[in-house]
Amino acid sequence: MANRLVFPDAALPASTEAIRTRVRAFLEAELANGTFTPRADTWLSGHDPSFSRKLGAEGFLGLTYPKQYGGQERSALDRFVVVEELLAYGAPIAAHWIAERQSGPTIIKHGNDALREELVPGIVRGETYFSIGMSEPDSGSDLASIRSTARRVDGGWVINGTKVWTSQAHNNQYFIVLVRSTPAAEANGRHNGMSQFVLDLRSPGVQIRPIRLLSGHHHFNEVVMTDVFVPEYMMLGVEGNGWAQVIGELAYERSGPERILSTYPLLAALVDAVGPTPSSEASAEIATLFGRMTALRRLCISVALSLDAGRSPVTEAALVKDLGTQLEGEIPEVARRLVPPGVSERFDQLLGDSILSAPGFTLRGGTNEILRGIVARELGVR
Amino acid sequence: MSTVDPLLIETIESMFGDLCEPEKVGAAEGGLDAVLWNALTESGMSTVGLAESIGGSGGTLHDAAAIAKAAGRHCAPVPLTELSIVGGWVCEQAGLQLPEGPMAVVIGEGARTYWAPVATAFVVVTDAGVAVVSSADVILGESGRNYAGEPWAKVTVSAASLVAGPSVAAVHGRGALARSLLMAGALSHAADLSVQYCNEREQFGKPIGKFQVLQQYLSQMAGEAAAAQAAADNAVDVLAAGADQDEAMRVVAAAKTVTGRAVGIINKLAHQIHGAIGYTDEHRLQYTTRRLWSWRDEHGAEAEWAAALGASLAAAGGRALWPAITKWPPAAVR
Ligand SMILES: Cc1cc2nc3c(=O)[nH]c(=O)nc-3n(C[C@H](O)[C@H](O)[C@H](O)COP(=O)(O)OP(=O)(O)OC[C@H]3O[C@@H](n4cnc5c(N)ncnc54)[C@H](O)[C@@H]3O)c2cc1C
Repeated sequence: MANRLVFPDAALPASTEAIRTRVRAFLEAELANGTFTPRADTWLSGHDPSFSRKLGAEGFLGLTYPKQYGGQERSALDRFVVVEELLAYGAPIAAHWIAERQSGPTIIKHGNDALREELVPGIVRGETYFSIGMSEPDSGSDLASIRSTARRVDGGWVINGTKVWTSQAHNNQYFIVLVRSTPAAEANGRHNGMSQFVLDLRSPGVQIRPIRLLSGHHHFNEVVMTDVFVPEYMMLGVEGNGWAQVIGELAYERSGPERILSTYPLLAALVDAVGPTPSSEASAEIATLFGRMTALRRLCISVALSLDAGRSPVTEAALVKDLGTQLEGEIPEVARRLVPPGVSERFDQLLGDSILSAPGFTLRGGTNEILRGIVARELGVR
Repeated sequence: MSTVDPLLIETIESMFGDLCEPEKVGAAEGGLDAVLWNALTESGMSTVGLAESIGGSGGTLHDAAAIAKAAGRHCAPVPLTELSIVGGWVCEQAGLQLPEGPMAVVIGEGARTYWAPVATAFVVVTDAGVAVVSSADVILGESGRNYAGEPWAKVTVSAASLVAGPSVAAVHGRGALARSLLMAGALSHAADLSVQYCNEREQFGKPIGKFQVLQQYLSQMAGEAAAAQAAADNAVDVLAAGADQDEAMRVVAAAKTVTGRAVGIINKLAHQIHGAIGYTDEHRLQYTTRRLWSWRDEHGAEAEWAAALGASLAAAGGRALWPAITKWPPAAVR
């Protein structure tokens, strides 16, 4: 059988229902209080520290982390449920998003004790925020070609180089940066000789410059690091093993419900905007989006169950992200066909958010072309 | 969620593998393959999922669905799902014994009855009730074949004593479920055949699978096939958990819409990848793609099901949408 991709059964355990009820009730109350207005793409653009701290106080962050660092040691499926509810409600969750999703788990896995104790509890409280320091001006899809360097000095490392497209670096305290700790020419193969560090973005020698999005928003940054000192204990994992560590994170980064739900709030608004008795063409278009979303959500759950069972469904995650991000982009295309501008302010705002953020969906976290390459390799043609 | 015994899968895969070679599938067009039909009935595979009390083999809807998907994957030239998923279910619901022989299901008046020309038993579904009759009690009118040579006819029932049973709409939905399952299997087969061909066929001195654009096609096909499978599996899980009529309509509509939509994408790419040979009757791909083009239209095309589903979603309003999405698949009690 050629197709080796597997999506085993996909039912969430019934035990997740309790936390779903709790987070839904919390979100309904916040909505009623007017703490937030539902927006699209809020996991990347809705940076709201007070909301993140509230989530921390409610115990909705770091659910899977060890209790020692403030976590609850709950299953990844409980986290899945909390996260998908936050996304569906369009709540502002960008401040803690990267920290809670990947920086915390990376630090727990690869950081030393001092670093864990210093940073993880703040992530769980919704106070400590992280960005991702991977891409560089000449290194996008070909991440292994990065040129930023770390040089060993007394008591730590000195880092030089430039990172770009660094989401929210101007609002967050830290990023995890991938750099060359051994020059490419001396490393044994281009994937060797890279290391990961936690870098305090407030350190001397760090310059953060805005790169405005086409919408005018300040989201991206260029982070220039000039002789930035990083103490030894902030190195993650093993020197030279940075690439493998980054790859290990990918299944987590790529399979989450955020890869299908970025424009969900617009879909819900669309259902209201077309009214209770739309034309059969409009009904059919909405139902097609709904049908695909329910199918892709099943695949997402299946990947989450595989991860929870200790497998590494990297290819399956890539496949789901390819499909999911396409769906995210189609929702505004359908919405604008069915509803003219000016019908409702809420709809117009969500549509505008969605149209203007759509180009990013199929780029961030690995472009869809790269994802399909990963799937093709698993299919045995590469 | 429910797991299907791997032994059942192994058995049905080997039966279809032995008996559904492309020449046999081709030779059966216009009718059915009697050898395969007999093998399925003698082994009890054709009635897996139907209660033993009415003469079925027992087992779950998940078992029957796994067999239906395998039938789709292998282009099984028999009216298996008319019995195992549609007509047999009507009998079960109505407390009627399963009749012998190939079955067709007459749903309402004037509709095409798939497989009627080769059926010996007819399940009749009307607004006033349901019945099981033999070929002696029906008259076949206008007839034809779908793109894959599977026969249909319009059927007039001359005599039937009706008993209470599932509604016309509910049986139409079972038909859509059956086609969704067949399509889920066949879609993954079209994707698999394409991978295989990409490794075999060489141009410019290398397997065509080395060309990046074809790799991207294969990946897209794998994705659409997985999504179609997921939509069909959602339907099976929700129905098996005992959905009410509205919920059953919604989940079947979603399945038929997603699987039917995938046909347009996967068939197009499969033929593009296969070049001219795939466009001929010599290559086996066409048995799969012609079935897919047919099945997406049978028991309601996407337009019909999506419109019904969308009307139901719109009537419930935007706030009800997320709870509806998170209801599927049903949570597992462990
Ligand atoms: C909204 C958003 C947020 C982001 N946030 C961050 C962040 O916080 N931190 C960070 O480090 N990065 C971030 N990124 C960067 C992101 O990781 C890169 O955009 C991505 O890896 C692609 O790199 P690139 O943009 O340089 O495109 P390129 O790699 O230059 O690609 C350009 C085009 O060429 C195609 N291409 C490239 N290589 C191949 C190949 N081998 N085969 C086929 N096609 C190919 C691509 O698919 C794409 O279509 C973000 C990006 C976006 C859009």
